[in-house]
Amino acid sequence: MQIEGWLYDGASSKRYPIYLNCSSDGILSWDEPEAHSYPIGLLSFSSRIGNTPRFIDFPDQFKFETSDNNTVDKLLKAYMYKGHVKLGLVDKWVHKIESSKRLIITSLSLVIVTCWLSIQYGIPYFSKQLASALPVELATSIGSGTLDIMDESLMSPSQLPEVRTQALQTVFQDLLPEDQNGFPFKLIFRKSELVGANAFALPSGTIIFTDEMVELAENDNELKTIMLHEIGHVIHRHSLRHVIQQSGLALIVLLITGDVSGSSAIILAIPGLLLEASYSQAIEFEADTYALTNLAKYNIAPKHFIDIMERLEKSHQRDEKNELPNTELEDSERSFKDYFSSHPPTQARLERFKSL
Amino acid sequence: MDFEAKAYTRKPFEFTGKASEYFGIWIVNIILTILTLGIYSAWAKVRTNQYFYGNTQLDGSAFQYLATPMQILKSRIIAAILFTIYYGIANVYPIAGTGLLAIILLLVPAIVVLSMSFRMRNTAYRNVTFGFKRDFKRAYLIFAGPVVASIIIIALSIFAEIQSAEMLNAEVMEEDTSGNAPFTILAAILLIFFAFPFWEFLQTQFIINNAKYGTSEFKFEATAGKFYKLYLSAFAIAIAVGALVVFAIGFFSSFDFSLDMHESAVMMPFIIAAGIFPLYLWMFTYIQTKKANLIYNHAALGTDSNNSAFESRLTVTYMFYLYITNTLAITVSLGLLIPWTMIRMARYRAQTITFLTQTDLDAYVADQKKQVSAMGEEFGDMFDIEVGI
Repeated sequence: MQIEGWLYDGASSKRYPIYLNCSSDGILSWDEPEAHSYPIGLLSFSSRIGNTPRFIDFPDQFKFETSDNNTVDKLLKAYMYKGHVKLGLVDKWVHKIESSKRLIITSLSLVIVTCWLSIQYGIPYFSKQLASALPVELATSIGSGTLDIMDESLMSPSQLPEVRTQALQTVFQDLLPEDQNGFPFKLIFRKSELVGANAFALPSGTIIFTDEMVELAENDNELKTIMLHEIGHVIHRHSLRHVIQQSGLALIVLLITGDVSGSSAIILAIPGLLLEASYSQAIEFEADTYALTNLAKYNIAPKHFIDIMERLEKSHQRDEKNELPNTELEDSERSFKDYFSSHPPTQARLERFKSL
Repeated sequence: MDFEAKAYTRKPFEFTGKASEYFGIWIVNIILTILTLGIYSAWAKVRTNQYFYGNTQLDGSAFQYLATPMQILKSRIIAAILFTIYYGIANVYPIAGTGLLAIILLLVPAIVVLSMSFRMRNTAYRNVTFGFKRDFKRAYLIFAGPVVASIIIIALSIFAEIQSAEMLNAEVMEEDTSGNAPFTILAAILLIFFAFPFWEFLQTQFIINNAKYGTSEFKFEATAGKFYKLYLSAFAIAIAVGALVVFAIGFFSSFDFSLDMHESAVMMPFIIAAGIFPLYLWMFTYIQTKKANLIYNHAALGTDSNNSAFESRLTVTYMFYLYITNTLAITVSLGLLIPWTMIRMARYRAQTITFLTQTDLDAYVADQKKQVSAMGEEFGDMFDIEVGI
């Protein structure tokens, strides 16, 4: 067998057009410009990548370059069969996968399915496990400056009467779980016209109720259901999970696309958005579950949660009067909107409370 | 440079890669990376580079990428661990994260040198490898020096401003000085702004002058003036086009009869953004393209007796067309057309570069082969430090 190509001596960029002779007993040789021969076991063959030229490295710095990929492959196959050369796993198999139409389509569908599964289930599951395994100090230390920032930009001191807040503090203390998992729970009140009626849980265990939220409630039982929901967020370490999830996604995206040019920035944002959307729904669901299981313990009817959530939704709809009411959306449009909404649609959430 | 007088022979670059062929390599890289939990990414990087290098040919010989997957894997694991630690800390303790970022910034000049060294050492043409002189001292001087100088200048200007404000207050108590523009600080910022093209020139010069092919050295023959000319023309065109856009927006919004006053005021930022974004993208393309031409057209290889040069003929309009269509294609195909965009970019790049040589390409002498760790490059990649030209 003969292979046509360039020979380089490694001392300079000079090249010699030669024929590489391959004998059946595993000796490769050439005659011009000087005769040399080597047993194939001493050589290293570059891996086949598409139809790019192949390089064969000889001892003494010689290098042979050829575009005759098919002959090189035939040669390697023959010598491998005779036991003269051993090929690594990648050199042996990967080009076969890369050049087979059927395997390319298989890979493509596998990529799509695994991306979908890991965003939908894999990453959320692992971050949930990891978040509950890490020390509680880590969970409480996230975003320690968040409250200061919110105070500066969004909220002002509460204007509720002292008597009212004191009463609510007592209510709140009763609702705290026996095992607080090391979270320093705290309830605070703030006024915010910008945010409107709302309540949030900070990772540290501090729960904020806006004055507007307290005023929206018709009785304390309604506020209790919201408090339980927020305690659920803290107990389940949702903020820590969020951080882990983002880091995990960043690392995976980096590993897969590390070698892709920067023009794909838009495409990299999509998995993040999808993950974010399904995450928000999952944590609200979990916090609801926490509230639901504890309502019975304190003899609070689930109806109170339904009442305040419906009123809350109405008050927010009033705030954004430009937005179309949900009922006017087409079905497909609605499900698309639900997927990207940070909270699961209120009606779907409330169904669980109604069925009790 | 006077090409005619020296009688150069033109040797065009060629790119022979095909999108359909590369798609197979790309998708198999991704699935094997996923199935091996990231380990295959080192092989993926090597195969991708081998594909693009091997398909880039000059005078009938191909370029070769020499780094081995194991080399990349080791450095990549270390870099990934460092990145995870950094990302975790930056998320949990933002202040500590800022401190770490400062340390990483201090490493940037060293990373530039190490990555260039790794990249050059692992590129071969005709069995002669490229190389990069590891001049750390000069790297710190050129990459970090101006940053330190800028910080000092700004600090001094703020100090001077406070001083003069106090003096003024002492003299005329009743006069309100708060309305005066902080002139010294503004001047300092302008000074730094105008020094930027010169800084970029120094960086380019550093990278090209330290590069070698075998024992032959590259030389950067442009002057800083060329960089000033480039930015000045970009700036002038941007102002002209920007004025046109503003005029057009004003013209069309005067016909506004569909929206009521409130809504058109709301829409205004979007209309302006729609006008500004293409302008910004065009400016970016203009500077990138012109700079690439400037750099290649003033890079020389070898000594006076055997001097070679490059000719780069990228056009701004075609590059702009490529950026726009590539971005659209990637978005619409949910990323599946990434291989196609990479191939057409590489093809256009190769098509527009010609190597100009006075002799044949046989006379370059090889340097002795030294191994360089991939750590610099992998670290730089992880932390998204842009290296090279």
